Amino acid sequence: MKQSLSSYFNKTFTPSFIVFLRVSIAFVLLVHFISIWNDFELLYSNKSIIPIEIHGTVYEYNIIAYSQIETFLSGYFQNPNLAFKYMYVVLAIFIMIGFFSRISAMILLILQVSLVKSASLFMYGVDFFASMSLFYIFLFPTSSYFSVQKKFFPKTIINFPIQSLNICKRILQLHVCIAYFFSGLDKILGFNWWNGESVWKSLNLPNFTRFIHIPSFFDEKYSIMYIISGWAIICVELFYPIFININKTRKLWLTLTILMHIGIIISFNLFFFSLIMIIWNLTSYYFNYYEKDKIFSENSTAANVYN
Amino acid sequence: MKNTFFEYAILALIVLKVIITGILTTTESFCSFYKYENPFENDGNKYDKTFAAYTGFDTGYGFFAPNVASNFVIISKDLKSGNTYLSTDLLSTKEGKLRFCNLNDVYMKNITPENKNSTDVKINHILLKQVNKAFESKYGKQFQSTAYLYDHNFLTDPAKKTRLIKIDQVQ
Repeated sequence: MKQSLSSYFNKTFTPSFIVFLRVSIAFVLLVHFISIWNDFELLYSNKSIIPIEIHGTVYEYNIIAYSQIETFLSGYFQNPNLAFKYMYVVLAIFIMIGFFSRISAMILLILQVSLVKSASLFMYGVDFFASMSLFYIFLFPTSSYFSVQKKFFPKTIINFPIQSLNICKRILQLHVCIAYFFSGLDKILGFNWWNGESVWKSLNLPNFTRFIHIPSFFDEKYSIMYIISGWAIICVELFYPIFININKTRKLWLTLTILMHIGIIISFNLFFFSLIMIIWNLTSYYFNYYEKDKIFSENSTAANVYN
Repeated sequence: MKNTFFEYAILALIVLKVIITGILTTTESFCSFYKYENPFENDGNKYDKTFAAYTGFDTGYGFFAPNVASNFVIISKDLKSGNTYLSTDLLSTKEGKLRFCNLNDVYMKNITPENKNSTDVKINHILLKQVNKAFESKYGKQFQSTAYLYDHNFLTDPAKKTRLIKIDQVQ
């Protein structure tokens, strides 16, 4: 047991997963934000369809409200919402290129949380995973590898490499394992997941747009298909922590999980949520396992590999 | 490079936080669905809530579970022309519409018996008024907005027709 734990926490990882996490998450957050550009004022500003005060009566958060940021910015800019939008975009680009990405991630996290949690009635799963991703970009040594900061301002990165890549990788791996386990557990606790009703109902929800409406091709006569799908989703999620950590089954489970998220894109158009989950999966269990890394040893070449 | 005690402490803190949130949210959704009393119900610590809010760790992971909640739709009608619009027609982007749709789910509180006449229901009425007001100012006409429960047929009961059940209405 002690030996297993020791080898688990002493395995060497290359920084490729951190670079991938930083660049891909920043890119997704940028596109995600731009995707509501034209509706921003209608959703979040003081001219929004639903006044921000009403959101606060439904869900209360102890955060800096977006209205406070808007008021603060209005002291400096004629159009505070536009200033906020540009700040968001610039910070996402800073993270992507690795220009003081940790500080940028921290500031963006504050802005993002203020924005989405001030209008809590418009929140959904992707917002939480976006916050968690930004937190990890802030927490992990993301500015130390393949970054503009490393290239042009190396002295600003103190005691490189100061943090253990192993712990960063393990945090993300454990988090994703726990998340899928609870997702599977919650599903198996609902009897409608056993008989296919949950899959059927979710595929027919009117508030989602979809690329393919599967029930149009497979109606109630194919109920067995929905029962099998429900159990397949439960199995993939519930047993994720086991099979993703076994060398022989890792590739299969990673493929099944990614396919499940592609299914979510096709059936619910939850494009950004699925993308973030796929990024978390690849960061945790693809990089350092399957991709061809450059030869890397922490003692000698950490600075050179992704410089 | 050797892992430091501080790094192990951070890992332990995050893992514990994620597990505890998972247990609490699973219990909450289970009790809410099967109508049990939640044994872990409490308001939580102020600092913990702020930390969780700023890290995204305040979410559970049971998406669409244990039950897939029914959707609600808001339909607004131009009283003069008779044209009807979905509430999402107020927005122009796909992602904006998706976000705005989440608003409709508040009407679940209107159909749970313990919430009848509660403050929540009154707030939901105000939300519907806001949507109606937005249509009126967008088109400069008088509108009537109605929130409906979208009642889809079951897999095991294909004979049942999909229908819209009226929940609330404003004019």
